[in-house]
Amino acid sequence: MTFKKNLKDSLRIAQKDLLEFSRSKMRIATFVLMPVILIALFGFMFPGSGQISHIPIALVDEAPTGEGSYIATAFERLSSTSGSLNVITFSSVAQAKQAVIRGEVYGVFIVYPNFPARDSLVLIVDNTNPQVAAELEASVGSILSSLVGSNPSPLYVESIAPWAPSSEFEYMAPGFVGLTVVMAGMAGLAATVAREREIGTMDGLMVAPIARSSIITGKAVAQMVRGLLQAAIIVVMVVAFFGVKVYGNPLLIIAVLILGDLGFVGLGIIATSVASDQETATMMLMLLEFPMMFLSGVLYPVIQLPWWLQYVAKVIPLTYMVEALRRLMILNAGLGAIMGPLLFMLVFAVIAIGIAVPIFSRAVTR
Amino acid sequence: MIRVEDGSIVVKDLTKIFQGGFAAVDHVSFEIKDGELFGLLGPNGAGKSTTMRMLTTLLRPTEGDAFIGGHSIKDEPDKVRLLIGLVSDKLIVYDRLTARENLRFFGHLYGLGGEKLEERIDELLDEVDLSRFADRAVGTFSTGMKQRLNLVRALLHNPKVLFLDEPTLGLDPQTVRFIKDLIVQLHQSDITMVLTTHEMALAEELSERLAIIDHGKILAIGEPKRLEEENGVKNLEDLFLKLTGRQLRDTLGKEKSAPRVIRG
Ligand SMILES: Nc1ncnc2c1ncn2[C@@H]1O[C@H](COP(=O)(O)OP(=O)(O)O)[C@@H](O)[C@H]1O
Ligand SMILES: [Mg+2]
Repeated sequence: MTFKKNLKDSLRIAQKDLLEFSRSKMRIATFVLMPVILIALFGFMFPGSGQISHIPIALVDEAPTGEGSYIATAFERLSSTSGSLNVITFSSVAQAKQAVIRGEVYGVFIVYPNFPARDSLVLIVDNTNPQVAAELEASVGSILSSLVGSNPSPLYVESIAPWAPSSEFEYMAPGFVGLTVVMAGMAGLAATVAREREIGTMDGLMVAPIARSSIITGKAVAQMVRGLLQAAIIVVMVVAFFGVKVYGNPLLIIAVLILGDLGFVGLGIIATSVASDQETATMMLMLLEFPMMFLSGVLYPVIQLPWWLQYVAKVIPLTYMVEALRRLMILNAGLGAIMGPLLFMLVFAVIAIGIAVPIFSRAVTR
Repeated sequence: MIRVEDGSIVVKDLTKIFQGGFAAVDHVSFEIKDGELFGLLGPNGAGKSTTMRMLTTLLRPTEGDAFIGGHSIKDEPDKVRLLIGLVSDKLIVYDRLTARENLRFFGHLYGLGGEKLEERIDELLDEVDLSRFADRAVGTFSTGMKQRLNLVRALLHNPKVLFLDEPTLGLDPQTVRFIKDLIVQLHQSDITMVLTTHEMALAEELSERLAIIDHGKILAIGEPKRLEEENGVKNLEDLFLKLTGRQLRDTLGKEKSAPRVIRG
């Protein structure tokens, strides 16, 4: 009963917020242009190459005896002495490919028994991460050339997602989808709450016989709807203009976006509650947004960062959201392959919302 | 005939101490009878708005409590919220929505809806002469029009108690007169009203009883004529100056400690 009323009140507020939003032509124009510009800009841009090392790679030795029996051990040894690759051994190609989809390794190196025939050494790369893929190919190539010579090369390279055209953009598109939704949830929510407080209409919501949580939930719902609409614009654009093929169950993708957004909505609420005005809240959130944009694997693969920044990336929740989206949308992964990131997002959401709602209620009646 | 006294207000030791230990309202107690029009006067920074905000459940008292229609503002804020309406100089209307959409939205928050709500909206808009502008965005309204809309917004759910915090601030004489007439009319319909204003003439004319507060404390309370006689002054303004002194109130309180909820 109370729950139903609270939900209804929330939806009324969400509806009001969206109605207000829809009345401003300037805001709608900006709202549509933001993702369009973002995509147009980055769609043609290539991130600069960095020094990538210790790329995790799966090794499958199908030729434990015979002429190629030394390859696997030597490959492992040279990888660790050069520091370019982190070799993880798998017993079957299928298992190794699953590890790629789960994001544990960036490629699979297979030694077949017909070595040294042509194509008896196979490297399968994660082409949705083009930069890492290129680096991986180069590292494996250089190790092999010192092992078996390079002419003629027995190495055959293939892709984990042959359906996906290999471009930087393939890699970035899911990141932008996640980033857009998160920005709307975090900064957008903080801005509308602060605005209502400053113009005084928040008092009108607060004297009404509705729960404090309905106010904040309603506003969050409105922001999420906006974020999802912008995400949809991005998806349409990358599919229509950049030839990206998007896979994955749309409902699952939306669920990941909403779950991932919740924690950031919480951060937005916390910032607005703690800050004295809209400007301060916006500045506080900018402080979070910038590192997030560059460190969470939206633009550059996390593995390309210096080791200490990789640790920072691992505590940024957006990293997990983007990771899950990339696996879903490009690698066509199932629910099982994104369980880890989902769990992290869930924990983050519960903690952030758990802190945010009481802080908000207290801040508005202080 | 049994009359339910649900528009009464009982204030007991109501206190608000802001961060830094500043007591904006300091153990204030008074009672307002059902249907009464009560004035709250005091210089800037006296604690009028803080008192109003506590009574309207917007601000939690540090100490003490108040009861509206017998319900504690601390323990039963939801019951209190159903009984009260709030009008202040900060207009609670959304510029991007039309007048009707504004009223419909707030009506929904009070659990109203359907045909009945639409009829109520028509009736209220008519009352404040805004029917012609019902479907215009409120952003295009003059301040006076907005305040008229804001007033009926507070009346949508037929509140038993209406809180008016400086409702005439920054308005033209026509609108001030309009609002004054509306207050008189509402008073005849037995709604309890608490009014703060700077305009002594308005307070003197309208209030059945009033309190003069300063530094968060009540200095005098009673019927305006009685208070004037008791203090040997001829009008409310003289009484006010006699009680609160003539020095200017240029406190820096707001800048120093009150960035959060800035109210007149
Ligand atoms: N949120 C707040 N935090 C700290 N101080 C406040 C806050 N709100 C008001 N004050 C201070 O409390 C005093 C009373 O303010 P107020 O009730 O608004 O006075 P007024 O009688 O003019 O309406 C003022 O000195 C004001 O600066
Ligand atoms: Mg005031």
